Amino acid sequence: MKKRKICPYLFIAPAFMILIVVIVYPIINMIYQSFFSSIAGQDKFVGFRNYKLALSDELFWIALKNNLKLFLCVPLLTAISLVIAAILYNKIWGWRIYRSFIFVPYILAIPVVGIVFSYLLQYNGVINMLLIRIGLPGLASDWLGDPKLAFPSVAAVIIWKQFGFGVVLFLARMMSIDQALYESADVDGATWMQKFVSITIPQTKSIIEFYVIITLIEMLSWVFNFVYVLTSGGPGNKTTVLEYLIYKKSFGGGDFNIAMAISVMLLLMAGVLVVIHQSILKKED
Amino acid sequence: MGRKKKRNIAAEISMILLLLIIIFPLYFMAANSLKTHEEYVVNMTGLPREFTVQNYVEAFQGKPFGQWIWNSFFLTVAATLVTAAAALLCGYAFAKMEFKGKNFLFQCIIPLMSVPPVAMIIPQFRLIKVMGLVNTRASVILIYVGIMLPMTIYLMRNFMKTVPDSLIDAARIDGCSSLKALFKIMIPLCIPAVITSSLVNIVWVWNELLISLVFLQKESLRTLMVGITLFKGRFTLNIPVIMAGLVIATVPIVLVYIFAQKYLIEGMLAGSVKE
Amino acid sequence: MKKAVSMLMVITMLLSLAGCGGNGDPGGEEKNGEYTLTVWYWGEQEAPGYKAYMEEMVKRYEKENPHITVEAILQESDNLYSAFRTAEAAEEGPDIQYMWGGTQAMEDVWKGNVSPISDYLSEEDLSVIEKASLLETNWDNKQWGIPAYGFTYGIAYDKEAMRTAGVDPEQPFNTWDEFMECCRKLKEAGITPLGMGLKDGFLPAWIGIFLGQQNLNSVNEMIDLMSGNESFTDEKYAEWLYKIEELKKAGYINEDILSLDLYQGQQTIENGTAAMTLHTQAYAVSLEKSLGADKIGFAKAPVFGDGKFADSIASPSQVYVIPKSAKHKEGAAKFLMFLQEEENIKSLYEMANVMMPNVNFKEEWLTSEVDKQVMKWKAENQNFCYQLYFAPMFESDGLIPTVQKMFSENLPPEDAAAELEEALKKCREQNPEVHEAFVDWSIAE
Repeated sequence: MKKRKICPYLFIAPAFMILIVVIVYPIINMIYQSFFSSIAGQDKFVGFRNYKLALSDELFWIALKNNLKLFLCVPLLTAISLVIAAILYNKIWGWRIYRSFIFVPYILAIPVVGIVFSYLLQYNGVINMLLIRIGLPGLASDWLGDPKLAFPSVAAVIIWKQFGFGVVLFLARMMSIDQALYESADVDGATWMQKFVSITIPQTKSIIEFYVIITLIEMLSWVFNFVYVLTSGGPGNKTTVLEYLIYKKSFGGGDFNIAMAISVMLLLMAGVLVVIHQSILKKED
Repeated sequence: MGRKKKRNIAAEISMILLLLIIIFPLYFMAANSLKTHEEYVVNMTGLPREFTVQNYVEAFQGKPFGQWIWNSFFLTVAATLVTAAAALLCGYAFAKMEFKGKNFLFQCIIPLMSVPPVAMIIPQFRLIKVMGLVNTRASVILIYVGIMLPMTIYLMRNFMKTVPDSLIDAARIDGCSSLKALFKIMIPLCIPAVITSSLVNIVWVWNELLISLVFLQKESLRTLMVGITLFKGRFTLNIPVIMAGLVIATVPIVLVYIFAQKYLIEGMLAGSVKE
Repeated sequence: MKKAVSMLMVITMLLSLAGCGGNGDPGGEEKNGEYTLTVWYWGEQEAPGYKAYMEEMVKRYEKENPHITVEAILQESDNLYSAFRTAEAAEEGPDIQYMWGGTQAMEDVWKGNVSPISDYLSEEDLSVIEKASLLETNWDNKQWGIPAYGFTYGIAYDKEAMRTAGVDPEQPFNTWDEFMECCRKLKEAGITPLGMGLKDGFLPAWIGIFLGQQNLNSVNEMIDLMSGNESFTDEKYAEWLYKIEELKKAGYINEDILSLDLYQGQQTIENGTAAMTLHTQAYAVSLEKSLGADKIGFAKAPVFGDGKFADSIASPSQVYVIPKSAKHKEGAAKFLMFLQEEENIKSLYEMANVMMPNVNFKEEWLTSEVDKQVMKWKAENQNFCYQLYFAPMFESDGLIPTVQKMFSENLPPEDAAAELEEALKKCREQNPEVHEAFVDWSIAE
């Protein structure tokens, strides 16, 4: 009996030891630093000053709003990926080719994607040239320079690069769904849509849940590179996100401790996401 | 029957459109890397009229691409393997074992994913110094593993949850230990998850820039992604040379993908057959 | 029991992985005076050839000092500061660190990451360096940085385009009115007068370097402005924003300015889409060498202001500093003085096209027309670089977004000035300690 109790901890020990060193300690350090001010190598306790300063900075709110806007991409990404995965699962003509290509954007490096897209999206770039050629010069715009279009353009590039992950993930799960379920539905004369809603989605649920959470977190704290390579946060801060703000404040001249305060708030937001996630799960149970 | 056909055509058309959207930027990159600069200016979107490999010659000149690729390869393989091993064990415990604090510990995993790497670099560096690992591959591998673990554990756990308990119980009744149950039942069933998550991890490590830039301060340890940032400012006039540089940076990972794809499919099929 | 053993094996495997791999970094080991000097540098990105120059210097230095190994590592623009600050926080910094001049170097001084170079070098050692250049990193009566190289800003222009538009290609403009006239003629001839790129955000400071200082009389006035004793909304300080507006309204700037990066904007003059661009002498020289002296000209900023700095030129230096955690500070100082030796500053000029602000720099070495002209400017005009005295964060949180908004949202110059004033206030609030040190700077002068 005693053995049984130790065993699970041994299973999780290697992972947690690494996590403590690589992530937990830095987080503790981050929280500590967020209450101090470091100058000339000395730490001075300043209470909530860094938080107050961060919250009174308009940039913080612009960045937060942009992150929240990116959350809107999540249902879109999930829906697109699910539908594509379901289409591929049904083995439409040429599905192997589609499946091979769909993951390709995901494996490209963000700097590579950033450079290619900046040539496509430039004012004198390829997309505008094509629009003019097909007789729609009215649609040609400065995709990354126009304050209204810059952020949607960045979001579109993120979707372009990321959706393949969802497709592959869902497809992997769908392929391991018990065929008998579909066969019995076929006997009942169910349509494709009915099967999709009543078999595919419930069977894929735990993976969908994983995907939604991962993607939300990605939109919260893993989009820095896209912004960095596509727009550097511009024009006029229109595409700044929280992680970019943290980077700028830590290393681009500015107060490192305020960056730590913003990081702590980011962490709290992720915590809120987890709580919401848990309460939804409980409700479903 | 008629309805079914119509739906397929709609699906096919949208898939073809999707394929075009995916391919166009890649085509733009590849096609232009083979043009002369003069041709690029007048012909941005067409196929090259006169193929030239001069851009590749220029892009390769004086750069230790072999060294860079080897460094990236080493980091990628090591970090991915360690992550997969640790995450399999941990995910299994979370999915199929009962222990005190399980829910709490598992819920801690998710917020761990959300700390931006930028915010952790300085304390990580201090720890690396304490461990005596400054300027070593091991330091970067350790950090990569730590950053990839939360998501990988989470994915493994959710995949393993879909495996019916009855299979594990059956193994237990047969007298298998937990570890045996993991190796005999779980791992074969979880190959799709292992492959999927490893592919994601491989892609991430291969393309990672920030950490390797800061932690590997030796020319002989620099990775391919660090190498190609050289193409960012210097050659901006000669776009075909930039495109050639990007193609060079992209080809290895695409080759890995093509190679892994075979296993990816086999793995998925293996998963579905056995259930 | 078996389980536990196998678990332990896995754990030890993971741990050993963390433990192996490192073949023991050289670091501070000194055997019979043998040591390794680490240099983290930058510069290849703006002065092509600098990497080759640095490698040559290392070779020469190691030959002269066989017991010393120099490990010079070229940094990327993205990690020049992040790698340094991270390593410094763990007291594992290099022996010599490259920094961009002015506040960008002083910030680390104020944060306590740098040792004063004057502790290791005598006044006599430093006397070979131009005074103005030393002042850029002099604070609290100490010298903190030593120039890596200097370069001069100017407007590079296409002489052919000037001829087409009927403008004298040798002397296209001196005053602002002449400049506007020149732009008008170019535009009438169907040529975009100015090509620039604003997307990556480096440009606003560049424009400031050409126009921002023109109503100023002293460095202290600039520091007063940055520290809030003077107001940005005052016309004296804001006039240059109105000049930007003037150029924009008249349609003298390329219309894709918002989707180009700084370098891409500069290259409009090479690919013939614009007649003029803001450039540095090093690049103008490389253009002169590839296209010919009859194709590329280099002009001073047009003058509109009435301050002492109205016709000043900007010829700042990038610097090397000795980090606080450096293990071989004496050795670092010795290497930095080695770079100042006459033969080596000559190599710097020959290999990377940049001049060392050193009194031993000889005019007869000059091979290019652009350089000869720059040398003349330096003899005749005051040297002041607007960007060197930016308050910390002013550029990233104030200047860049504000100037971008002037183009993307048509923000009027008076509102832009008010936004810059706000940004300065915020910078002071967020970095009170650094701000104090910053104010000290002006007194030290």
